[in-house]
Amino acid sequence: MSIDTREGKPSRFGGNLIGVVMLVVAFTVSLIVATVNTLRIERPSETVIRIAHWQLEKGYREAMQEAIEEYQRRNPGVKIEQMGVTEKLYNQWVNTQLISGTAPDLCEMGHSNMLTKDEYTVKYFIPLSSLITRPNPYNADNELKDTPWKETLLDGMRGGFREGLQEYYGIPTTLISMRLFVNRTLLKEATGSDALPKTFGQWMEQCRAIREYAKRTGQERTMVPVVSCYGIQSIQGAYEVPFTSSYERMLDLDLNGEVLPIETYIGYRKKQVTLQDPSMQALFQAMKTVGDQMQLGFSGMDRQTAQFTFANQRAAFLSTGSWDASGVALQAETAGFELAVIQMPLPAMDEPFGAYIRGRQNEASSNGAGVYGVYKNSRNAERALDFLMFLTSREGNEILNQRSEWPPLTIGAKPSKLMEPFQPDPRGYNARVNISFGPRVAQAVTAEMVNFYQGFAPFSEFERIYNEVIFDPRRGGDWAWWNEYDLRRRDVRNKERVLAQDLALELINPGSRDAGRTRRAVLQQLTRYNGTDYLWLFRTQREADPYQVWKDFQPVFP
Amino acid sequence: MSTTTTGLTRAPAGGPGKIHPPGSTGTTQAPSAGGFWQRGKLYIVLMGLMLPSLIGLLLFTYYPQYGAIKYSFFDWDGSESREEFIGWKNYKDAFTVDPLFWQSFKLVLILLAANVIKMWPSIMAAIVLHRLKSERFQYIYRVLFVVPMIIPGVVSLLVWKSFYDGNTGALNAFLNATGLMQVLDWLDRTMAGDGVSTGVVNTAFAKAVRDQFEIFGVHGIWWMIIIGVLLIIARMISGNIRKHRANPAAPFLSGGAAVMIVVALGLALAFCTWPTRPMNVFSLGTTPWLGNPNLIIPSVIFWGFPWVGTVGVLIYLAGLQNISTDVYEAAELDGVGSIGKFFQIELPLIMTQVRINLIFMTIGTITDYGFFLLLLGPYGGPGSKGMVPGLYMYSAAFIEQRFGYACALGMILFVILLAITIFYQRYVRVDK
Amino acid sequence: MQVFALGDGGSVKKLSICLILLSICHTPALASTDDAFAAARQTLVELDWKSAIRLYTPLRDAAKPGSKEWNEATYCLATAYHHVQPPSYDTIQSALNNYQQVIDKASDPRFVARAMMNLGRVYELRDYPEDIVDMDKAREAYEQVVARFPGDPIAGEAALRAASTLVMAFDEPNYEKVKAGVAFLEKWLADHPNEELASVMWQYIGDAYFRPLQDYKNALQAYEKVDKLGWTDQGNQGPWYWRCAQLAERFLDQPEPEIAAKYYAKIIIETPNSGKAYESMQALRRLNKPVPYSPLFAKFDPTAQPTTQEAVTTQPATQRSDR
Repeated sequence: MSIDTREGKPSRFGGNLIGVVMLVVAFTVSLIVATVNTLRIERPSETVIRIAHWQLEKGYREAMQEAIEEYQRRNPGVKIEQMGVTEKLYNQWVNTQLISGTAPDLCEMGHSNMLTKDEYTVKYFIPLSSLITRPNPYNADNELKDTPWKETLLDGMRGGFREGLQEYYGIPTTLISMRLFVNRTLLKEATGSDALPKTFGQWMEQCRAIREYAKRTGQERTMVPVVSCYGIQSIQGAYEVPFTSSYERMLDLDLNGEVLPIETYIGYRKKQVTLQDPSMQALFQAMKTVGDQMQLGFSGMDRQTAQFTFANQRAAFLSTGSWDASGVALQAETAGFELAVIQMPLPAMDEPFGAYIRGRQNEASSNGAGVYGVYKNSRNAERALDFLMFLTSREGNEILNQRSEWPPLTIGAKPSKLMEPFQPDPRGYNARVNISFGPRVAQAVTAEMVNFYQGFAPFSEFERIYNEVIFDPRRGGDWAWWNEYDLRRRDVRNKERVLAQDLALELINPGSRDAGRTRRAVLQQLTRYNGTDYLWLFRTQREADPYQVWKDFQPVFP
Repeated sequence: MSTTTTGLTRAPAGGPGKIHPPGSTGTTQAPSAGGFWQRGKLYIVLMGLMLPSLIGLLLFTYYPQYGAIKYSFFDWDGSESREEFIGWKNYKDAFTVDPLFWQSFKLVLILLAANVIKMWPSIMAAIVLHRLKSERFQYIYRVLFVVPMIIPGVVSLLVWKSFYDGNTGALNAFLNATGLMQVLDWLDRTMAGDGVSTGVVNTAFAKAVRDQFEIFGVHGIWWMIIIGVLLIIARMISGNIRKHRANPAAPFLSGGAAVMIVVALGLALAFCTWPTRPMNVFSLGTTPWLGNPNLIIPSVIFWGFPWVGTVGVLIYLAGLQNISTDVYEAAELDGVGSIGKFFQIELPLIMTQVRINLIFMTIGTITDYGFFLLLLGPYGGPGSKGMVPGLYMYSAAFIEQRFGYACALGMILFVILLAITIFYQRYVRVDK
Repeated sequence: MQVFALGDGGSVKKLSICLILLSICHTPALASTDDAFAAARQTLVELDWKSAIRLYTPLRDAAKPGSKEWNEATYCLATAYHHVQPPSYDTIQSALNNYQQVIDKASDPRFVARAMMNLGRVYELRDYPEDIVDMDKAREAYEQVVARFPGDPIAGEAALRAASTLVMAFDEPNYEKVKAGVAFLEKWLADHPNEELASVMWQYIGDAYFRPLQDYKNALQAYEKVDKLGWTDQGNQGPWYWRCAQLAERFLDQPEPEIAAKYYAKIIIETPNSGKAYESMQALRRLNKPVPYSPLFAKFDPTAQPTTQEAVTTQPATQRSDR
């Protein structure tokens, strides 16, 4: 009981009593809610499926609800509850639910170690490989009716595949891609035409016109032609393949159709590729040209500021991803300007840099996103999986993605009008020169390259720092090479767990083994050679003994 | 032999070190069986009450620390699939193959020096508040100081970030409106030269200062200044100067030392951090405070201006309010003025609070990473100019997936902090 | 509350330890041996090796050596010690001891063969930092499996592993070991036409011919055999198709455009998501071969230069009012 200090006597209605009452009320309410929820889950007459995700972007929950209602209409007696949890809390919330055995039947995979690390995934989620090879019954009325479920998605369900476990543990439901948003109204005001740029040269011309317009209208200090939600790196990502995919023929040592960072490093050491090569220089200079059209010191601009600047018509072009599209469209609608979405324009042959362009980067190999896994302790796992089938059927995927204005993933699913430009374009190339070999080099490239693009340092400065880092045996290319070797070696060792599990379970219960999975794991182990192929590469491609170079980094070398 | 009879006392007859609960006699008489039982019950109850807190403390405070120590000897990527004991290798790597980690201390040393200066406005504000005659206004100001505490840190961070924005930020608007931007532009050209003339930082003297010598990637002049500043602060604070204040030369000596340090600091700051080429970022009026590598450190130092921290002010105020009015009255009788009161009464008597804030500030400065991560990204912005040890540790763990190595870096930071804290305890003396 | 701060792996581990401690205190007595075995097997399904050790140890101790229960408990205990994290000298020694006990005492030859096989795996892989890799000892173990259990399906894998210990030597400049490994596998396949792992073996032989032996003709022949048998990693064979096409078109003394065209077509039809479908279409046109249909390209004109494609414009206001 609290003391009333003025009277010096105990107070009958002091703070403590109020606290106790509040505690009792809160406890009672919680108890009632928990009991009601438990009873609802256990009610045999109605199957309740809970689906949890962190997609609180505009429109997604409504779209999911629409898909749920359609599914419930087709499946009376099934009730699906959607649980949207904020991105920040999702990690803690889902961990607690998984450990306590009360996790939702369907969980969006990501953000938490327990949803991304193999050892937890195998414990809490159902493997799906054997279930995705049969056709999806919800596609019965279209031409995908005989196609295995896995093959009905644009990414071949790669988004749900777990390399370490050699299993599918999730079903992706949507796609993501990066595009350039254009304020056509501003473009018209500034240039007199709202024609969208078809080439890099046209784009840069329009940017210069916008600079002029800003100067004319006294907005020189507040208006810029281009902003980017994810810095210039996201823009450069669209140009690396066009400018550097020709190197594939020379650098792709294992003929797998890609230039791995280690292959770039080998080529860099052998001077097959240098930072001064005309095509590499063309890439860097083209990006510098884009950087000149962005805010001075643009690296200080974050995602929100970039969106805000574009929404306030202080930028004509915005680089961001499909996930921001509906928000940007709403802002455009509110601000009253016409919005267009295009792919990054490439230099034409007769324009500067055009001679170095091989073609566009294709988007055929992008992985699906919005991946959902089925909780192992789910009472209605089969029904939950059935709902995922519906979500990834042509019709279900259209409902989900049209309403949320995300790009659909199912082959033939029609996107919303806004999403049409985000559909993956399978035409083009995929190999690129990646000069960021290893984390330390990546740090140097990210931190120093931006200085050049912002105009705060000459290219020679970047090149000097890059060479200093990449040739530093303690943190550069050689160290990254050792790291790659080590990763391969560990990967083989990790796969051994899956094989050992298969062997033991097969002994206990003959015929239980998934022979396909075992063969795949054995093959992948063998073709990684316990990492010794990287040692061989080092011996044959580098004029040094890896034992000498790496002896400091590893206690025992095999 | 007699003993006291109150509280927790030692009872010689019961054996050295035996503890008596409150209320027991603590005499030489042997305790009866009933008394022992009673006390035992009391201990059990007390231990039972302590147990939840104790378990919580062990589980959530000490266990993670133990985990950090343990994993600093492991090659660990945060998962169970890569967890190998590798002895001292992480520590060896930190000391031998990782110059970036030690380079990141350069920024911390600059920030520490800046933060020592940034502590003064809070002390001044507390003293002004304390000396306010009107109790009503004192109360209102105290409330005003508490109100900002309820604003989440992220919000104030975002506000400051927008304040620095090149195109729409308030700072550039202010500098453009007042003409200070032109002054900065002039300084930029004058200090570094405009490409034709050599500029101040390119003079032979500046080069001599800049290219002195280097230890752990930090210029010698910095080491000298930092050590000098710490020693002089320690001496001033420890009261040695106060002892000799009767000596008429003392104020001149301490003042002279302070002036010399300020001049050295200014020169070092100018010659070691000012770019040797003009930045050319002021002429357009859209200065990128967080985008230009040369402006990142000044921006971080200026952050939070006028540096009146709410918690700091309230802590100092609490200390000031404990000073008896008799002391002030005696000082007034002796004819001590306002400044005298500050240096001779108030500052010495709130040294406990100053020391606490100094320790917290040091720990915060050395271990902080969230601020830099939100502001500049995991690599510390352009040219990694905003890379501090905490951020380096974060990127080792979450970008490179080298959690074991990050734990080792954390342990090294811990030892450094411990050493600094011991230094403060030893040299920042408190007059009671 | 602190209990919700489960963001990192360490915290999860922390909580898991508490839960394990609690579960140890509160594990109800299992109703029967069958239940105990069922619970232990579940730990294998979940790759929970620590619990497997805890549950299988008493079962092994209680069972009669050589009995069916003992075989399972000892073998699974060995497997659990083999893979429990973090691995150490002690855990691997426990695994070796238990595998050896299975080899010495198990009544079921299937268990013996697999225990022997796993001994080879322990010798071949580096399990903990100071572990010594002993390829010769590993090969010896694999060869023993082949010699003692030729009828067991595991013999094929053992043969493959034995060959791989030679191939992995990458013993430049003459590659004697690599060649010996390849020859061993080719002989095995000739002797065992129905080998379950035939496709894997041919793919491995093809890889070895490709690199380090640089015998592109034999590499392509080996891959051709894989193609007839069916690729193991279905859906992910795109890079191998590309390699085959490149070998056939660019690396042979006498180029094989027909074979190259076959693989380009396969990329378009079977692995259009590999990222190489567009280039395969270009290659087929270059080789004057028909380009197969792919639904992925249905909406796009694959002959159009994708450098200057038409942009798509949207007018959100109209679009929204429609809805």
